[in-house]
Amino acid sequence: MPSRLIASVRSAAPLWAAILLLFGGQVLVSQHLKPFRPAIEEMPYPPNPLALKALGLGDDQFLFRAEVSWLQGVGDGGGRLKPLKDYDYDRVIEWLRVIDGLDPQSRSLFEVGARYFGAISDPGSAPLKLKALATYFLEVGMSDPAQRWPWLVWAAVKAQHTIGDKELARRAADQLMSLRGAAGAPYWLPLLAPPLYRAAGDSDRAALVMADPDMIRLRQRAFTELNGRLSQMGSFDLNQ
Amino acid sequence: MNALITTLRYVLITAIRDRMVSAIIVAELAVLGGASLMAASALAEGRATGLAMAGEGFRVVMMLGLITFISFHVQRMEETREIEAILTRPISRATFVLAYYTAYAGIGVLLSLCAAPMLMVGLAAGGAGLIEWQASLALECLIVVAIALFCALSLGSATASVLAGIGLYLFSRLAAFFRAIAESHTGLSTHDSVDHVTTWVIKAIAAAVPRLDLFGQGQWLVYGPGGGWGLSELLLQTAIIVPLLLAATVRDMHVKRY
Repeated sequence: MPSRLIASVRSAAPLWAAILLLFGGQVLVSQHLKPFRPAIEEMPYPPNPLALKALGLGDDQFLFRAEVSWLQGVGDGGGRLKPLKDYDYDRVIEWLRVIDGLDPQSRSLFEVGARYFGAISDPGSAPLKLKALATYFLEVGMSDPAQRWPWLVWAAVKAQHTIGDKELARRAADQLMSLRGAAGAPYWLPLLAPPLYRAAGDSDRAALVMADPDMIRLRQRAFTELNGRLSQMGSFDLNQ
Repeated sequence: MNALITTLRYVLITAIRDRMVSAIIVAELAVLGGASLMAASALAEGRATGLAMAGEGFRVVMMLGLITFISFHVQRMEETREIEAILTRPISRATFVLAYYTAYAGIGVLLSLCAAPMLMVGLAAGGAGLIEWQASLALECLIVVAIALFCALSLGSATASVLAGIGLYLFSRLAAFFRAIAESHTGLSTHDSVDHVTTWVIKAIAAAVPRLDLFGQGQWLVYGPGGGWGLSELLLQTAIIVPLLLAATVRDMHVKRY
């Protein structure tokens, strides 16, 4: 028995030695190849919506989630990140538009647009890029304010505080004012308009809107509701 | 009936012995792990992302697994002259095809039924949407088994059969889009006659293949039933295409090989 064992070990030894040597070689080769890293993926132009749908083999929901995940990580090249200031935002918006067509109910595309691409802070390029994003958000938000009012709020806040474009601020204000009494949309959306008029340099219009009896009623309703909610949260009263 | 039960038992034993069952379950667990990872990394609606990814992954695993298993199993039966031996007994070609289809389909449906519990446990899926998605996956398996059996018995070679089965499956999922592109005239060439012929050919092929793009919608997992169609349309499609493919398989056995 021991002699058979020794014989089998002897016969297998060269093969094991070769396997171990080759395995060692593979580890060395992988160390040698370590510096070669994949290039940071560039964002291509989006395809035709019909061609994009074909990529999902009929499952639009899967395609939507896959594309949103891709958009979220498109500038990540294995730990190296492409700065947001280097993105072509017109192309980003084209992608947002084409992906949005796959699932208009979801808010995840808004989150990627607002919290990822909207987080650009480069002082040189941010205003222009955010203006493009806010213009798109306004357009999409106005198409379905009942469901997509967060897109409008984001655009309004950026137009008021960050972008510094008077024309956009005025347009956003006009559009928000047009939502007075809109079915399904939050009643308080028009209250965002006066600060936007002020940001657009039109203080007179802002004052006029503020003095409108309908807007006063809306403001009082919003104030009462907010006060009630804050009180529920922890005995806090805005009147105090 | 006895022949059917014997065949089912034989195919099930082969599937277990070939580790097809365990390989599909392991692959589905890997898909669930990958989908959970993607769900965790999503900025918003992580669970919906995970469900859509896992749903698609399960379907791909099931379809590739069934096509590969059936193709290689049929090839092995041909190499060992098992098919010829069976057909020397008083059994018709139609019974032979029906018995093997039932056995493969039974395994396909049983394996597909693992998907819903995994989605329930791994990603908290539930409701009518999950039931509809699970049922549509089972129906899709029935069609894919018929496609794979047709390719395997017609082509003989396992490699050719796998490639043809995958090709037919992909085409069945894409045909509606090809037809839509042809009808919308977005892919025009410079010659009207070429366009006309191409459009006609695409429409003809699209009409002949099953509408697999309607099966297994991820939106059912995320939002529940909806989208304009449901199980009744899928049942109708399955009820038409499966007998058609089986009849073509029987006809092919008569004419070409046995």
